[in-house]
Amino acid sequence: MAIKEELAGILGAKNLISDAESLKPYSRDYSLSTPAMPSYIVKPKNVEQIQKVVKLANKNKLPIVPCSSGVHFRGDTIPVQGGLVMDLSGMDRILKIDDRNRMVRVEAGVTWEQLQPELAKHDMMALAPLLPHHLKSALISHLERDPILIPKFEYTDTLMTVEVVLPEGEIFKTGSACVPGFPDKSFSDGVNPSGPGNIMWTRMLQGAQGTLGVVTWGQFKIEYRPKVDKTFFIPFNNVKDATAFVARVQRRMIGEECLILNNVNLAAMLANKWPRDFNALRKKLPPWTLILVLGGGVRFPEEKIEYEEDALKEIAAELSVPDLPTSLPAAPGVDKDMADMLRGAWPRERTYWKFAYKGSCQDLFFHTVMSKAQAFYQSIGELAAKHGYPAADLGFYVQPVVYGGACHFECNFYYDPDNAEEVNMIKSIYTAAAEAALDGGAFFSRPYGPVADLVYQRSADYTAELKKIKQLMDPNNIMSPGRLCF
Amino acid sequence: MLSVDEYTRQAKMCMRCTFCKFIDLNWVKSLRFSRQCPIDTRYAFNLYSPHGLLHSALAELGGELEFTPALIDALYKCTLCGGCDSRCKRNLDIEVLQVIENLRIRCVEQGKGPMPEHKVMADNIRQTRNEYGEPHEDRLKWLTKEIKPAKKADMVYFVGCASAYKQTELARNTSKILKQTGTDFMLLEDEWCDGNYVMATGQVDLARELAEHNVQEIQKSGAKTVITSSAEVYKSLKVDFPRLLGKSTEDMPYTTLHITEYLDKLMQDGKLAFKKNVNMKVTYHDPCNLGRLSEPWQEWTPNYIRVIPVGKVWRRGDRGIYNPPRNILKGIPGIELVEMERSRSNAWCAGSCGGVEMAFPDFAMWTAGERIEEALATGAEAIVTASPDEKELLAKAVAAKKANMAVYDITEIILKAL
Amino acid sequence: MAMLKEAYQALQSIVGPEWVSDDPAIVEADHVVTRGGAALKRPACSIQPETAEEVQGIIRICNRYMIPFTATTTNPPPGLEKEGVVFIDLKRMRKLEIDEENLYATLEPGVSFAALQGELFKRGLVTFVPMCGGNVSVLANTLNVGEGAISYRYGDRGYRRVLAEEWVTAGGDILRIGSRTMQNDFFWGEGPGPDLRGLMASANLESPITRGICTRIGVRVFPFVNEKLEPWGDAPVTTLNLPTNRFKYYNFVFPTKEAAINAIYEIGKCEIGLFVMTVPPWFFAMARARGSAEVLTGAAGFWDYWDNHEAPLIRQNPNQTSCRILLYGIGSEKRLAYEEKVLQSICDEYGATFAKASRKAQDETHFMSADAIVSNLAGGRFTSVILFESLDHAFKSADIVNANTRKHVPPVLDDYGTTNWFLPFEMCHICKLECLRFASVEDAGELALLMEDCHKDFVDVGAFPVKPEADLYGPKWENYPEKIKKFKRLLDPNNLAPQP
Repeated sequence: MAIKEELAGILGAKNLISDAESLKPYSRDYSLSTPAMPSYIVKPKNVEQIQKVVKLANKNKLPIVPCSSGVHFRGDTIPVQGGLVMDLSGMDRILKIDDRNRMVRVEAGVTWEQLQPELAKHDMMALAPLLPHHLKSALISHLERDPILIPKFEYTDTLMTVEVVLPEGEIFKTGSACVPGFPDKSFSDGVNPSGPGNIMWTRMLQGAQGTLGVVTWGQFKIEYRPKVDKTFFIPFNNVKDATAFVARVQRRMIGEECLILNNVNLAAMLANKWPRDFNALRKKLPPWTLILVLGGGVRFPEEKIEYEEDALKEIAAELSVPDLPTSLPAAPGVDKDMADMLRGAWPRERTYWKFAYKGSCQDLFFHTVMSKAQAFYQSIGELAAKHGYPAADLGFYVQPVVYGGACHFECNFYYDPDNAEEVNMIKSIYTAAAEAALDGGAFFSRPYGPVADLVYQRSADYTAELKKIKQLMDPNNIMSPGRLCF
Repeated sequence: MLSVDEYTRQAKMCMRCTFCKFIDLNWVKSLRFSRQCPIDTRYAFNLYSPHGLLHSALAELGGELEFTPALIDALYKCTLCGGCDSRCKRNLDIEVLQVIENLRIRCVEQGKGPMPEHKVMADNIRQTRNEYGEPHEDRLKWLTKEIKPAKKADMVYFVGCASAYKQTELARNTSKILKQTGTDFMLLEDEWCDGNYVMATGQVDLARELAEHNVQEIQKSGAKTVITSSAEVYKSLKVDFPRLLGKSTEDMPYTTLHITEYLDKLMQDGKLAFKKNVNMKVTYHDPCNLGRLSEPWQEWTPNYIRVIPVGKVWRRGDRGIYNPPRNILKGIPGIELVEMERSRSNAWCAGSCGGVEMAFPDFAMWTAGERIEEALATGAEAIVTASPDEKELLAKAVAAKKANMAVYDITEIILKAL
Repeated sequence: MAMLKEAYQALQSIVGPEWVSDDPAIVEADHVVTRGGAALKRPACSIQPETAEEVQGIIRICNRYMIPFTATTTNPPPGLEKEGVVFIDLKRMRKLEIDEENLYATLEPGVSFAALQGELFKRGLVTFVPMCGGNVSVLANTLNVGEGAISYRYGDRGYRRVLAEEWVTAGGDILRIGSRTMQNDFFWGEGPGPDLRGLMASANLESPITRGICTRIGVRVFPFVNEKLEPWGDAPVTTLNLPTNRFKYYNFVFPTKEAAINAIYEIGKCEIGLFVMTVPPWFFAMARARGSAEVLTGAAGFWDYWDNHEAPLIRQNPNQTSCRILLYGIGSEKRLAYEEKVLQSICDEYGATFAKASRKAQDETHFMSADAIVSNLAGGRFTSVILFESLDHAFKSADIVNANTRKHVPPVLDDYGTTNWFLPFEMCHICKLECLRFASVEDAGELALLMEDCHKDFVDVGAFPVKPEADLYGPKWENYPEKIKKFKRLLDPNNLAPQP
């Protein structure tokens, strides 16, 4: 039987796409990656279908590239060696909201747009990255280790357990979800990410970009969504002063959402009318803004905000920061909405903030320590200027993680994807900036596209080990071949 | 010493939790000075540790292990400082030190120990009643014309071999201090070596002989109080003698006082105040024999209900002579007393205890050197102690390091202030 | 079993003759068994490397001559059931660097928690300390399990705090993980790409030596108060005095266990406290045993207090549940006041009363030292049935342990089913249940039987204990042992490291 027929037999004809026009959107994304056409798009509805497809793919050595979000930015879902794209966006059930244990279990296709309002009905929220696209899968954010806006506790790592179809077709549940009878007939609530045995399977799947299996559902932490907030927009002339302030704030464990944006990025987020609002905001906003949300607690929320604000004032006095504004003069009224904005997806009725300026955006991001943020800002700025990219167009985002011990540092290169010259410029800046950042001590924990090549060249023993693991788990090399170092 | 049953019981209780290797954890202030056990810190093999020796004791008793060169080396490099014993008793009441001492006794009984240097010491004592082999008749040569002990007094001064023969200035200092405080004292007619190192090296028969003789001499003298300025002698009189004679400290026919205890009492009673300034920043080193190891001995016959030792009074190292020397130093005008990170029952051994210095001088020197590093870290100009042997070893370590630090016995400081 | 002379000479050339020995006494001291373990054999030799290069050299020699090995810093390691093992003792590896600005420390296996904590206190920082005590190796404990009371705030187990890692695999290859892959900096742990920290260790109370030897890690350290925690006292009664403007302990009592669990969930949701836990009555007896050195001392103190005070109280109020919380004014003193108010509000709502006992702000357990070993005072030996899952899971699992305890008739302590200890972590997202059971040294076998029975029941009800028996759980838990064997073969092609 031909593969197509077998697939149709597993999924049903309407869940199998093979016409060129429908395949085209899956051949490319918003990254600079070279497009590549898949042979089929498959849209499974349950784990059993996924398992059968994976087994069929193994039999025929057919690559599978899983995707769950309806939008992609990093080239990791482009089928560079052909094969199937397995689109799980239709598996979009919120399986369980557990207020007591403060966790939620969702299928891979559940988006941030779908999830946060549902959780809000329970006065809860998942810990979100910065303004995700409305079609972005919440689970994929966790699997990709997207940085979270709230740098408290161990919040780089809120994923608990997952169900995965491994590359050879076995269904496997990680952590304490592995027990028989899970979820309905077991003691276990699936909250322990460790094991079974002395392996943390969940971690191995994170950052794998679909190369080690197809995750069907995941369970992750949710927290109380404050009903009372006070948001500060603290201006700084340079990122060094901003990170120094953040370090003190984090040392005293103040606040919920805490992020640093330069004027370009903040303007892109706040502009309503383009380009007028954007240009005006970009000029009026301070070079850097620390957005800090003080969230009221479950009980006595105002009193929590009060003591945190007192501590914030002490920090400001220590560092001679003159103002702690709770509004943005350049964008009146935004303070009322900022907390909610940061806790949700980008609204679907508005052009995504990264596309609104020029149509596309290439993100360069890595981990570093906060004390190096200024140096990276300077070096990337200089490099961009050398390539002719205007400094006034560079977006920067610094996200402290885990009490400011390190940070996610992100530079956003806005460009017109229809302008070939700009595209070429961005391509060369991007690679050059990545190399320069590596030389400067940046760590690309999540390497995509050309950055992955640079990274794996420099980490010989890790690369060798990854390849062995890939060979062990995916002997037919069907899962996202050509990705990472595989 | 310990019965076989009790020896086995104590050694078996070891959980290998390794509390014995560190100072009391609540008192740890740095990586550098966090460790308690000298042999563990220097040699790191598990054998070279309190729990390693406890396990070896069990294995040797069970016939699974002989006294190999490594076991003898580890066993006799242990300074018997008692740090492990104190640390273990924070959480588990195991008589760690007694097991190690017992292992040494078994080593001697089997003819595998002690170290050759310890045998020479024992022979010296048998022949000349002092550990150096010096003529017994020279034991009182330290006396000067000015020092006139009473013919009869309530207090007898037990000098000890080190002060009598080697660091005679300490004997003279002690005598002068007693005189200047108006204290009558006498000397024993026939003082023999107190046997601290004999006991420590497992040669209990000789140690018992020395105890019997010296106690007899004390009784003969009619003194009710025995005073000393040597930490080693203090521990012998207060702890080892009753233990060797099957008694408790309180049953002995005398009370033991260290010079610092005595002077501290005088200070508390308002009978002593230091008038002269001694401008110095000092740190005080607690000798093991005056600190952890000096608690009164309580004779006890093993008797258990469940795991409860019925009627036992515990010696955990917290009731050592820690405060008197400090009170004295603080009472001297001009003295600024700073503490090392490891002090009181957490004190790091200076390396001269347990017979280690005579058999393993390099290791003893290393141990003392560690203590000097710790003293230097306080910024003190001088380290003060209350043991002639420790003073000598610490001074050697200072010289070897070319360190900028003076080393004093406390009697020297006291005399400066009187 | 003697090792090949050539192999021994090769080992000597790596570390120098001073640091390797096959003396019977040295190897005898290395194979200590605690808590009734299986019969072990003396290692062939004991070796003490000082650097990662030496570790690699040793493991390569083992692979050349096909000699099994194991490694440790403090705890007795696995793998000594084999003959002729090379015992690699990592205590000489004691380097420590602290980056206080960026909140992490880089350290080798020989650094203890107490030493790290001492250095951190000087810098206004703090590390988590496990409840087995600050004496244990930071690296080993972090990779093996790494949990303690303040895991409530600072991350469930060691995997939350470990950053980059550097390993010598059991096959003798170097594996660097996280930021260490590309630079000599341990500040970040994930990746690049898939996170192989998950392969090497998962803090499930299983020694990571089955994969190889970890020679260095970065660990997170955390902001703390600037006020000093002053040590007080002399052995055996020592403590740390906590600044009372920043810390306050409260003991409070709920009428039922259900009320306690519900309230604890709420406490976690409100994000107050540095830790919260239920307090089994025997804890009070243990604290008393150490706290009154003059009169009620040691085991005598424990039993006296237990028989005359706690046991009668339990019989009177068997459902009552005591809890303890340490409120934490990190960042400001006003925060402490806020936390007190929230706690009072929760206690009012769930019917708790505050104990009249003194709320001295002193700590013997969570910042430096530990009470865990004290558990031996009761009888001489204890064991723990440990599970890590939700608080509700803990509640249900405790009943299974109680039922099996009654079957075995506690040989030492009639605890009336109260010695179950609920320790929530990560603001009550996860909970450790530790069911301690006691025995005399002679009856330690009863404890092993109790464990067996509990595990048989756990498998059937879908409970999730830590350190499950592979033969029992494997077939029901996704056949994980088979998968682990495959990964082990990758890392240990000659099968020389201990088995998982």
